[in-house]
Amino acid sequence: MSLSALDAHAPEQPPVYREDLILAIPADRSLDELRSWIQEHTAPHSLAGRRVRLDIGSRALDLFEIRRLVALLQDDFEAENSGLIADRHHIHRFAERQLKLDLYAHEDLDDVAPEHITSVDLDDTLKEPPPPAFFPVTEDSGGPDSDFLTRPSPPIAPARAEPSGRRTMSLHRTLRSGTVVRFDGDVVIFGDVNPGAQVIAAGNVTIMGALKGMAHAGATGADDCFIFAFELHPTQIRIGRKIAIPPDEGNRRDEPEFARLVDSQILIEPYRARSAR
Amino acid sequence: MSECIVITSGKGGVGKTTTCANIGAGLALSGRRTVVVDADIGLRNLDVVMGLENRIVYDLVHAIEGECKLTQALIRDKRVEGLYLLPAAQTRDKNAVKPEDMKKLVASLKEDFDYVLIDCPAGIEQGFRNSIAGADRALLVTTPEVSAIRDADRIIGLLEAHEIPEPKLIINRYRPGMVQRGDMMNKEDILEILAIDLIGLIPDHEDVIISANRGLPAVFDPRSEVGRAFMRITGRVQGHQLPFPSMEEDTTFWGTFKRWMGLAPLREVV
Repeated sequence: MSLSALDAHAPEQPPVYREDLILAIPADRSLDELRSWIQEHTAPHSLAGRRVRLDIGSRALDLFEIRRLVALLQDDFEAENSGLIADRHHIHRFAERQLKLDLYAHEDLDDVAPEHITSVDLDDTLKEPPPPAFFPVTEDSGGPDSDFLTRPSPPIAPARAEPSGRRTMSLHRTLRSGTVVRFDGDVVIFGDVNPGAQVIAAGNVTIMGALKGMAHAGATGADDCFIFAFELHPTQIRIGRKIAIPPDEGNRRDEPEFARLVDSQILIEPYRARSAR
Repeated sequence: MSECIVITSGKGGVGKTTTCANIGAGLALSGRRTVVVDADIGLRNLDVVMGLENRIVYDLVHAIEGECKLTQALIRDKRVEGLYLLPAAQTRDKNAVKPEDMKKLVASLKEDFDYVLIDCPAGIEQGFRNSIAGADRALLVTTPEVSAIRDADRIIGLLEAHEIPEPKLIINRYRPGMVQRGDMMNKEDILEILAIDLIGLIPDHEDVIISANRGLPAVFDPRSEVGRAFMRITGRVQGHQLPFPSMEEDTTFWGTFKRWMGLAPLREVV
């Protein structure tokens, strides 16, 4: 029996951790049977007040399952769950699923050619929501830039050298409501960003599809970032420390557009390749 | 004296969110300072139905977790004086909030507002427990369908267990024509099963779908039959005794013709 350290039945066998009991659930038992299994193998109340680590063996991690087990230990056995023991690769998969990002441990990166990954230190880490110093959404009905589609655009400043070594994340799927993508670099999305989804990037946001949700470029405070989309119909866009609400649907244009900050106003204009200017 | 009212149903899709938006707007139209709170964390809708989605910067979870001040998370509805929305977070789930948090939140909202309306999510889990935590009383929404009524009955029991007595019933999507033909449960049948007081009867009308899609609650349109029904509920919520117009379909030739032309869908008999 893989019940490694339940002192109620094997008092002579010291627990692996001085204070924590390890409760290893045998591979052939379903997690649904955990309650009856514990009751079979422990004296009543022997878990009360103890710190318990749950070893789920080689099972995959499931958020709801784990929450249920933790609640069961607390509510039915009055034990404090102090940790979870699982296979490294399941933990990795779980984290990737939760973060919706590919994760690489340091040792994995040794295989990747160094020019693909450049380590960058950003002054601030990305934070959500934006810091309170943010410009509030202004109160007039058209949003802060109700005339921003009609205003003539000022001359484009000469291109600045891109800060070298900024990382780019590319995602090949549509972001649905409730999804948040955060990245401390540029983000490129091959798909749509639906209403209720958010893209928050320290750098530029490029959407090879429709932006209907919220995008925040320059989320660490950079004012020189842009948001590009094939169809730019956002719920809200944020660049640096500014927020804008697009005008009414009557003014919608179905052409590639990009948004950037000009004189601390968010300006949206049709995208033209640089060579055409 | 301010009050916190939770709008709940158990079953999904019976019209909690629409009811909440309309009663909230109705209370504000009758001069009460009102805040509507979307407690459906992870599946927020109230902001969309009220047409305020694009103005969200902070939400309920930010306010509870102290990332912003409560006043920063409130969105003022510009169409009527004294109407505010506290939106839910879309990117979190219901477990991000605990009932004690909601109690504190409601208590501080009650200092500033006459009415705090809470739009409860479907179901009887964490989201439901959060929604009723700070509530003084409850409005129960149901439709004349067996499944919705079964769920409403369960909710009445749960509300009693949480010491929220005497919820008031709103019957939504009522179709007088079908009731007259005997194809739909009538309101007396429903009241007999649930044994609670009726506070409103909302006819089924396509106005509701149009107004939800436009983000404009029906009470803003005085010609809308549904809007008038919600305004009567608003009056009753404030303690006024208002008659229930008995809704019946005009079955004469001209009535059918006018209904067909979309002129007079229902006759209200007071």
